[in-house]
Amino acid sequence: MDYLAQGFLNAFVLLFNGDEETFSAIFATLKISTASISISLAGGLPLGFMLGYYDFPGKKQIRAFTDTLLALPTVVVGLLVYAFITQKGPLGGLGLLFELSGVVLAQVILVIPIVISLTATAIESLDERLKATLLTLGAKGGRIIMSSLYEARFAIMAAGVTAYGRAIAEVGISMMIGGNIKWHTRTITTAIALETGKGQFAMGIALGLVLLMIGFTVNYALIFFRRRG
Amino acid sequence: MNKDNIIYQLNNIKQSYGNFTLKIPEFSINAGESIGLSGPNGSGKSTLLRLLALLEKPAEGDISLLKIRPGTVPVTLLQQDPYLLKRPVFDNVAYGLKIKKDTTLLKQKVQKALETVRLDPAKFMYRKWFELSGGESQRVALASRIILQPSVLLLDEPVANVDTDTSRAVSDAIRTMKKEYGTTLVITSHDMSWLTTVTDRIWKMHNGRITGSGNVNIIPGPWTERENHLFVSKLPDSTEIYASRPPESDSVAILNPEEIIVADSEIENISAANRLKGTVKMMFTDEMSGDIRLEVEASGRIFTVLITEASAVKMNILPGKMVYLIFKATSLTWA
Repeated sequence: MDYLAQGFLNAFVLLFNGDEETFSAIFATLKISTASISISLAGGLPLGFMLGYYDFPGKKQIRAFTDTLLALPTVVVGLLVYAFITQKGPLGGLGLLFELSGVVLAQVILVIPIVISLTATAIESLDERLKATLLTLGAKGGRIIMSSLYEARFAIMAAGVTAYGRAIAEVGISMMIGGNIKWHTRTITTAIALETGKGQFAMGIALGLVLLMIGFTVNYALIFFRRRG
Repeated sequence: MNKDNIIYQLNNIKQSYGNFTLKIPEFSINAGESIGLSGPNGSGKSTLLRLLALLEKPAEGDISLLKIRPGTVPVTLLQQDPYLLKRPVFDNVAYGLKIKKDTTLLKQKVQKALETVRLDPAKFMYRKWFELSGGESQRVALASRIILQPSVLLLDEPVANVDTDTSRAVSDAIRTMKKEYGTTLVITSHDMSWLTTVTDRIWKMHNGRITGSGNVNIIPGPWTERENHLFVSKLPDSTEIYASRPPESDSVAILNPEEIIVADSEIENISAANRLKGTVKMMFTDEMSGDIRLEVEASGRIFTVLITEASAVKMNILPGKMVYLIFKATSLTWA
């Protein structure tokens, strides 16, 4: 077990000395996950609201389809997106393969069903008296949407945290679309997979600790906002 | 009714849910008036309020809301068991004004609204929604409507399931709204004695119809024909009530309190077909007529009876006293 203890020790050295290769993977991860979660929230929140709030023909089918996508395997998303953005694919001309933007695109496909589905559930769980209350207080149109989202804010924040966790922790997409290119598209998870395979535990442990720290910070922020009401 | 002062005009309203249908051929409310709606559960009171609040459009007919004070919110409704937004009391009360972008002197306006419902602003203004009791929540919800100074304020069972303090605070707030802002009020309640203290007129509802005004007693069908052209309907304890021919077998009969004779002993030889033995449950001064209003429990239901103060003294009427209610079959009219 000495190699593990040594690995932890070396991990702290890498982090405290600001090892460039380690931090390159951390920054790439933060860039990708921030972009993908921002796009997913911007698109997923209104779609989730509409799915949860309005009744329309085919709603049940759309809901079932969205819920099914919650279990979408990352490698399947990687495969499909790869097929589209490879040189021979319909979107080959965009030059997204082995770029951070390509990984962001694939992560949005992975994460947006989570935002839509959990937001719809949050909106469906709202008290049925809310809409009448807002209307009787003079709210209309967009104000009703914003106020309803605000009433469901804790559940929606939890949806965002869940979606962010999925984005930051996935390996399949980053590996297949990003290509794990050093200094460029290498992320925390692809670096851990690579370094562990090479028997280089120090960097893997250092990056694993950072990943856990990000997860902890995001969840603590959720708890903090919940306590503040 | 002064036609120039009408704020609500309802014509040929029909609204259905499942087997229930609200049907109002014609109904109007004057501006500045305080109207009470009373009736059993499922009689259509809340449905009528939702229509008056313009939350729903009637399936048939039309509702006109006229005589709105300029610059005010036309109508707002306080639902039974109201919902508070998940934010502090201040934000709940200020919500409607913020929407209107009317934020001048917002804090003072919130303070005044809270004072109107007898909540201490210093103590309650920044409380969270989950730190309030049921009665306090009811008052905050009322304050969030009062602050809007609406032309029409609709209150659905505002004193059901609240303590005496809250009931008093709601009553005072209603009077303030009427006196200070000339607000038109439509209030539903099962509590007739409370309703008479805060309204100018009371309408009774039964089975989706407005069946009469004031303290009238409602006797539902079905009616079956008996000898001598009389028809009977049964009260909860199976006692039969006699009436003249109804328009339909399930018609609702109206019995005005003035038509009921109260006796303190049984009278054998009398032409009136209906004689019920009952117990005085409550007695009040009727604010509309100035007479004494008795709530008498007879044959499993409550009858409202009006007698003069002199008669009450002469018969020594007190709650708990046994009395006989006597009325003719022809006293029952049809809704």
